[in-house]
Amino acid sequence: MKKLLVIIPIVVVVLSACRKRLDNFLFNPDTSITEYLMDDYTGPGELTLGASYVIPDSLVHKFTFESTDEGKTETIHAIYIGDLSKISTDTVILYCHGNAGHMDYYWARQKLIAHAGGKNHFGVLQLDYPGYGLSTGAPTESNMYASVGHAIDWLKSKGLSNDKFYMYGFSLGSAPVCKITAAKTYALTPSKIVIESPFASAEVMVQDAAGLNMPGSYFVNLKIDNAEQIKNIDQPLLWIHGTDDDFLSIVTHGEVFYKNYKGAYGEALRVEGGNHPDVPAVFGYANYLLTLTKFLQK
Amino acid sequence: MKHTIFLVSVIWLSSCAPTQFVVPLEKGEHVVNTSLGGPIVNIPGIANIPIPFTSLGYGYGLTDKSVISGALYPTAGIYGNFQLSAGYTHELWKKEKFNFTGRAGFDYMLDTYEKNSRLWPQLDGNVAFTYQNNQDERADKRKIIYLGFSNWFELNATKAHGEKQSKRWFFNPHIGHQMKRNQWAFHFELAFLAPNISNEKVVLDYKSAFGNRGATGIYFGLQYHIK
Repeated sequence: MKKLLVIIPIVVVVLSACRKRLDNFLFNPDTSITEYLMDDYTGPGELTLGASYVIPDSLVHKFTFESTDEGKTETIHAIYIGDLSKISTDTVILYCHGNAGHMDYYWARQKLIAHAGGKNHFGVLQLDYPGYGLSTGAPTESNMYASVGHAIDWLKSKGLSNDKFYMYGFSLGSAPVCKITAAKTYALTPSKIVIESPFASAEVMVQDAAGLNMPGSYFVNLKIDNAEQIKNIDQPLLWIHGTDDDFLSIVTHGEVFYKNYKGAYGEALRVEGGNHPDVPAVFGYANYLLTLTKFLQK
Repeated sequence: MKHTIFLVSVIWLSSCAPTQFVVPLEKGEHVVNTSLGGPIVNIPGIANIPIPFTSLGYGYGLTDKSVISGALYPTAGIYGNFQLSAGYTHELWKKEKFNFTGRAGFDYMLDTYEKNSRLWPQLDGNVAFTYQNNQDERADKRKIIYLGFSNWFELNATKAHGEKQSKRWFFNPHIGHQMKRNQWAFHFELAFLAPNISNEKVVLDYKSAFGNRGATGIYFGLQYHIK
């Protein structure tokens, strides 16, 4: 009996020493591809667009750049919609995608945004974070920020200025947008941001699932905290969220995030019946583009 | 964003382990126990499965009517958390094959990264029916069906970002069966976790007998009795 009373705590301590964290579950990348198929992609996707949203090949540019974080350099794949030679005079939206798959999943979204204000009125850039699609490395919170930062470096090198630079973050992508905008230490700082279906913080995700008031540190080391970052953002904000989001609740995530915004101009678009991945479709592409255009051109 | 995020962080904490002592131990009797099981969730593309929470516990018969007990949770340990529960169980009523026990206890959790700690008080009650009781000098065979409830209480009035903690009481009814044979006892429990709380619009796809309320949990336990 005494042996058992000694053994049990030892087992628990030993297991505690093999500490695992759930940070990796934030990322759900697909690295099975050998190339980006874009319009020819037929796998899981978030939106389906008609033929009228096709972008001319001459305005679609696939390229790579390097991203360094904590001593590791990764090759990042990116897609730019627009005229590369006119980036310095165009207005560009940097689109930060969600946690699933790779850029093909979000290609339709990128094309849709490229129709705000008319076809190819804005340049739109998206990238695959490290460990997504063809981008090398394994995804972490830190190297995600770094890769977006290097995408900004690339835009800066093409002559883009702050006043013509906007950022759009969807779901997971809300984290780099808020982090970078609040930090004001990157090569460019966006003059407006659009945040669609954000999470308030990793802690809210944990507490939503647990019901109890449980610290996020019980399961993750993630520092993502959009609800705090947004307090330090002055730029105009368009927040979009579906009322029926069954993944990131509009009440516990979106409303908390938006309530903390104290900047110059905030606009909330609560899309009735919208779920997590389908807000633009439920709202209607035309309505979505009109709202987006009005905000960006205000 | 796919719904697999935080898949294994199924943390309906009030469901870490099944009920252990629905009838009191004899005075001076020791029990070590272990359990496996948790709330059922849907893992996309795989199945609906109970999450494999584990516990390692100990109980001691203070008197013929009262038990003190405690447990540690290896699953929490894997995630870098120290989780401990302890409680006092007392037989409040007994008549022939029926008895009713109440338990007051707590669950404590501390993470080893940021040293955040939480304590949740618990109040449990169980009615047990011993429908087979064959005890003599050679053998001890008992079979018990029990019905009861566990209540967890959230002490904090606010949660992340200063938002109101609207859920302060977690009510978890359950039904179970224990089968004891000499020093060993095996038990199975079906729990209906927080059926008063919506399970919609969270990152996990809980499965519940009550549809969009709470979660259903399945647990298996093993005890070793030492007199």
